Amino acid sequence: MDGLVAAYPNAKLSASGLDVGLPEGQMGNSEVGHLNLGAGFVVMQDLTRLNAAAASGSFRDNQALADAFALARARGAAVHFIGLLGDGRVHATSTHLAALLRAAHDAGIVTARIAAPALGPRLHGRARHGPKAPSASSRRPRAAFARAGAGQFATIGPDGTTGWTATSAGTRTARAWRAIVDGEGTTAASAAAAVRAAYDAGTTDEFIAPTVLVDAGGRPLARVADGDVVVLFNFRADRMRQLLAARPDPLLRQLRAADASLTSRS
Amino acid sequence: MTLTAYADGQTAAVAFPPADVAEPIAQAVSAAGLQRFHAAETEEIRPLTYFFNGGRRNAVRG
Repeated sequence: MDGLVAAYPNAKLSASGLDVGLPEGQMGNSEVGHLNLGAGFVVMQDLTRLNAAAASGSFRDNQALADAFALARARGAAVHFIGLLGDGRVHATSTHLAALLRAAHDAGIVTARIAAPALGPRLHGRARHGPKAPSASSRRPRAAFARAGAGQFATIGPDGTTGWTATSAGTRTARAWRAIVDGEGTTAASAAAAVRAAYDAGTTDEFIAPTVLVDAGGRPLARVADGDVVVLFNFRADRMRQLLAARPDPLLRQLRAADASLTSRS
Repeated sequence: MTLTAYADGQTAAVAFPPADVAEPIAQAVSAAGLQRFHAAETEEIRPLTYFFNGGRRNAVRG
């Protein structure tokens, strides 16, 4: 090796963080490294690109989002944001949700609902927050909604990291969808109340039952109706892919029907 | 619709499609009529093909 270095031209490559399109300080990996080498330029990875877009306000200028919001406005339909809530940056970040809500608000959307079927420890970092951390992680989107004047939690729990991938995934996915789409399941008056009740019963984030938030009369704050627009906001694919999978499930059919007109436009 | 692309051939619209590498180096070399030789240990075949070629499955002429 020393002989090669002495005899031939050589250089060191930096293969982590911003140099390969990852967030600052993030360790590189084989896939990302080779992608950059083959491209001949820094290929911004999804999380980095989305963080930059969220920070610069360019969610507002995104054509696909603009089309979706325009469609909802034209129909007078609600927009539903579905994804994992937390700052762990593994599957989703509340920064992106906040940016989406601001973009929706700026596009004139008046009815924005959030289904947050995820509050798991993996999303927060066990060491820092422990397995009960949603109140901290929901603070930022809540503040953003308050500022934007749009957005309301409609469904809480369970954590997608186990809820949608464990062997019981079929059952748990169905329960989650019944809560999100049909407004059926355990009820609570607010996101905070739902989480508090679960903690009081000794339940940690990963195992919170799908909880439908209801008004004073016990009616669900939201259901996914035909014609509504649904935005899945995880940046990482693996937990969400299940929701897109074609299968003869009436709940998923309903979701796809809600999304069908967007599909035909893409 | 989805924030990023979740699956090959998904029908729902995507807000932020994957970054496109228009012309990875293998393609440029091949287009210039030159030959390439990729060498990698077995475990690294996928990185040196799929990812090295900008996420493309179809190999260009070597």
